[in-house]
Amino acid sequence: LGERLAVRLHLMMCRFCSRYRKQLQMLRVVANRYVQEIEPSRSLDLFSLPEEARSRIQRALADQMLEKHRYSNQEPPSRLDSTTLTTPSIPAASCGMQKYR
Amino acid sequence: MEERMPTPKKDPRSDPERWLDEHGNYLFGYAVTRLRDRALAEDMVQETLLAAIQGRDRFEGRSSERTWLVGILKHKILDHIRRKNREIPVTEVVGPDESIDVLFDERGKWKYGPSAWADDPELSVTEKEFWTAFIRCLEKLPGHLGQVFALRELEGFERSEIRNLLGLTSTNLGVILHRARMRLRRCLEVNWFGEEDSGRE
Repeated sequence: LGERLAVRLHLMMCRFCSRYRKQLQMLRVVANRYVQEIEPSRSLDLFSLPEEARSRIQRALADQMLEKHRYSNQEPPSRLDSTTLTTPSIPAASCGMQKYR
Repeated sequence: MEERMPTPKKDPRSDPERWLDEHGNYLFGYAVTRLRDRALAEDMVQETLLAAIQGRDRFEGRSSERTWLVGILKHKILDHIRRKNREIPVTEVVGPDESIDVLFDERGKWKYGPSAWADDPELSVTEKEFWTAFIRCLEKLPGHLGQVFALRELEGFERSEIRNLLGLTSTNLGVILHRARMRLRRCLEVNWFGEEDSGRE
């Protein structure tokens, strides 16, 4: 108990300690501000998907669309085999993990 | 004579092309700050949009398109964290953190005090340069420090949720979080607020 009291007394008198503590607390405020205001803002342009990645993703999406289109035009498969199995998709409405404060 | 309403021009882009154009940068930024790995973040954007193609018939428009896409991305990110944690579990954090050594001398006294940051955070936090520095510092947080910080401070997870997700003890989580904040503080001090207060206490 005495030690705890001594630490508390030290913190009260120590200018750098209280400044340091305030700054650590401020990081929470800054992070929160980032999530609430900066990240959703469409004007800041803090991130840009590299062109090379953008084209790669574009190609992957086009392939997938083609695949989906081709599959939807086919007769339903008579039996399941490895070529007709599709990856399970994520339910569109289940946007869980909404953890914004 | 009855005037015909002009038919709205149909967007020539397919939905996935439009998603990439309109939300690609946002999704990328979201993944970068949560995972601190740009190549992985690119993959996450791709996986998200591919999953969105599969699931779009069930998107009922109750939320915005962006919210829907971010929902999918969050699932992907969490899956990745779970998988990675199974491969490389967080180990007990022991020993001092070298990032704080710079602040104190061998007798434990402040070598240099923390610099005085602007009292008016409003001013700095509206500047794009500040947020660029903030993001760069986030990306520099190593491994589990960055992971835990992102889950707690960006995703808003409760401590108990993080403990369960990563299999951490309460003490260990506290230490990791504290170290992450110390490193981030230090990085912002060097890259944004200016160097230490050289005056002794």
